[in-house]
Amino acid sequence: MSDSGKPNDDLWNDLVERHLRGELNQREQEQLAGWLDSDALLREDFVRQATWDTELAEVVRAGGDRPSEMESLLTSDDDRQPWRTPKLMRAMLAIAATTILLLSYALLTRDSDVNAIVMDPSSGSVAHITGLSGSLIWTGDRGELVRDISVGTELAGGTIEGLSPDSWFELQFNDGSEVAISGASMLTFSDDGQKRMRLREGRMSADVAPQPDGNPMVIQTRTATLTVLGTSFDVEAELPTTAVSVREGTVRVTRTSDGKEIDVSANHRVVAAADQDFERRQIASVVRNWESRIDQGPDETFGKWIAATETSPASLKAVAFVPEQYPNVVLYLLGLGVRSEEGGPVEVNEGSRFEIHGKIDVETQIYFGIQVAYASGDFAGKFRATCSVQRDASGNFVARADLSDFELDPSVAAYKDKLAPSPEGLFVNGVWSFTHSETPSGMRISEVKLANTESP
Amino acid sequence: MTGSDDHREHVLRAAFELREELLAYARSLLGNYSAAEDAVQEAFLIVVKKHESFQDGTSLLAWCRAIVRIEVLKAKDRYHRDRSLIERVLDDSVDAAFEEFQQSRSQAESDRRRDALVNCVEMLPERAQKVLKSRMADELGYPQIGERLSMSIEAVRKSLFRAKKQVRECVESKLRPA
Repeated sequence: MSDSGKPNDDLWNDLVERHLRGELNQREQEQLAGWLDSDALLREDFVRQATWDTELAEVVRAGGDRPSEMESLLTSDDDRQPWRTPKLMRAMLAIAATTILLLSYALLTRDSDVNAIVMDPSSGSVAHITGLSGSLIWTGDRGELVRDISVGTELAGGTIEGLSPDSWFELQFNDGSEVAISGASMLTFSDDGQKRMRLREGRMSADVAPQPDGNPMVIQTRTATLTVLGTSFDVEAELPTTAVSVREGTVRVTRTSDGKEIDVSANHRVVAAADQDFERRQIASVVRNWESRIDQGPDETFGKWIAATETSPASLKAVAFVPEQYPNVVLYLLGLGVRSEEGGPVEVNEGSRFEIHGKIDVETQIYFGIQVAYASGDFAGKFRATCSVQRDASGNFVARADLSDFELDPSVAAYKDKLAPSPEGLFVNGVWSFTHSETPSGMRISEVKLANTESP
Repeated sequence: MTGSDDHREHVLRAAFELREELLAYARSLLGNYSAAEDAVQEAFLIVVKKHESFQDGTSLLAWCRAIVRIEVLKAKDRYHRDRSLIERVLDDSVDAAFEEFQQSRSQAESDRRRDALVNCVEMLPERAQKVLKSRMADELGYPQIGERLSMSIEAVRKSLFRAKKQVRECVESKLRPA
C-alpha cells in the first residue's frame, strides 16, 4: 500500500485478477469495495481490467468466432432461441420451452407480487416500512426489484433507492430504531443481530434505540464508517465526503482514507473526506437565509450540471423524469440539497421567500418544492408552490414563491395527519423544481436563494 | 418479417455485440467465468422476450446490464444463498463502477481486438501459454497451476502477469494507428 492509502499496482492488479475468479477472502473483498468506492481512477481501471481479462479469457478458451454464432442464432429455424454454447445447447434445447414460459411468467409477476416476495417468511423480516413517497425502488436480498412497496410492508434486508429529489422512505427496525432516507439516496441494510447499513449516497436520518453490547449499528459510506450504540443523527454522503451531524448521544466516525476515528457528541458535526481536516465542530446555529452554490459543482444535485461559460453561469438542467405513480407523465425535474456553509439548519418562517434564477425554452408554469424536517431531524413533509415568474425574451427568468404559497405536496397527501400542516418554523433540507410541459422545457437553474423579509 | 420481428432482430443483434461487455460485468459480480457465461445467456433469453420494452435511443448496454444483474443475483441465490453484507457492498461498488465507466465497442473494433489477441497469444512462449490456459481456460488457482507445471506459486503469479502484460502490449502495438 502506498502512503496515500491507494494500493500499489501489483497489489491492485492481483486483487482484481483474483476477484474475477472469486478468490478473495472477506477482508480483501472489503478492501476492494473501499478502494472502488473512494477512487474514481481505480473504478475506471477495474472496469478496464475486467473487460481486458474477459477478452483474453474468451480468446484463450475458444479462439472465438462470434459472428458465425450470431448468424446461427438469427437464421436458425427456431429463431426465438438465442445462441448457446455447444455444451449448454443440448440441455437448453430440452428445457427451452419451459424456461421461456417460466421466465416470462416471472417477469410478468415480478412487479405485482410484492408481498409474496418481500414478506416471504423464510426471509425473516427485520423491519417494516413506516412511510414513503416519491419514486422508490426496493431491491431485496435475492435481487428482486420491487417498485410497488407500501407502508406496513415487512422487509428482510436489501437496498432502497430514492430516484428523485422528492423521494422519502422511512423504516422501523423490530427494536424500534428508525431510519429515513430522503432525496436521491441509496441505502442497503441488514440485521442478523447487528444492524449493518451502507449509504452509498444521499441523506439519511436515524433514531437508534440502544443496541446490544458488542453489536453496535454500523453504517458505511464511501468515505467513512459510523459506529452507533443508540442516538439520533443525520448523515449526508456524497462521492468524496460524508457529513455526520449528531443530535443526541455519540457516534464514532472512522475516516476510510486513513482509519482516523472521532467520537462525535450531541450538537456536533464532522466531515470525513480524504482532503479535508477531520475534526469535530459544534453545529452552527440556525440560519434563515441561504443561497445555493451550483457554481461549486454537481454534489447533492439532481439533474444535469452544466459548467459556467464566459457568457453563462454554472447551472443545473432539469432532466426528464417519469413519476412511478403516473407512467404517462413526463416531468422535467431538478433538485438540490440545502444546508448552510457552516452545517447549521436552514429554517423557514412566515417571512421566507424563495427566489429562483434560471433560463427556460418554453412558456410554462414552474413548480417549486421544499422538503422540511423537524428539529429532531424527522421528516416533516413536502410542500409545493406554483411560482410567480418573470421571464424575458431570451428565456431568462426569475421565479418567486413566498412561504404562504406552499401547500402540502400531493404525493404525501395520504400522510396529511402525520405531517406538519405548514412548513413554517421547520428546517429545509432539499428543494426541487419541475415543469410539466408538452415539450422539453429546457429549464436550467443557476441560483436559488432563500431570503427572510423579517430578519436579516 | 413483421415490425416486431425486425425490432427483435435489431435489439438482439445489437445485444450480442455487447456480449463481451456483459460477460465482463457478470464475471465481476460472480467471480466465475462459466457462471457468468450462463448468466449472460439467460439474460439473452430475457432480451428476446422483452425486446419490445427496450426504448430506442436509450442505452442498450445499460438495459442489458440491468437484465444481466438480475440473472447474476438469481445465480448467486442458487449457489450462495446467504450472502454477507460485504459481498453485497462489493456488488454495489462493482455495479457503480460499471455504470460509471463501462463503454461499448463497435463490432468492427471488437473484431480487430480479437484478431490481434489471437495473434499475440500465439506469439507467447509455450510455457507462458500453458500458464495462461491453466488460469483462463481451466480456471485453476495458483497452487494447482504450480503443481501442474512444476512451478512455485510466486513463479506462477509472475509468469501469469508477465504473459498478460506481453499480450496487452502486443495488442496495443498492433492496434496503434500506423
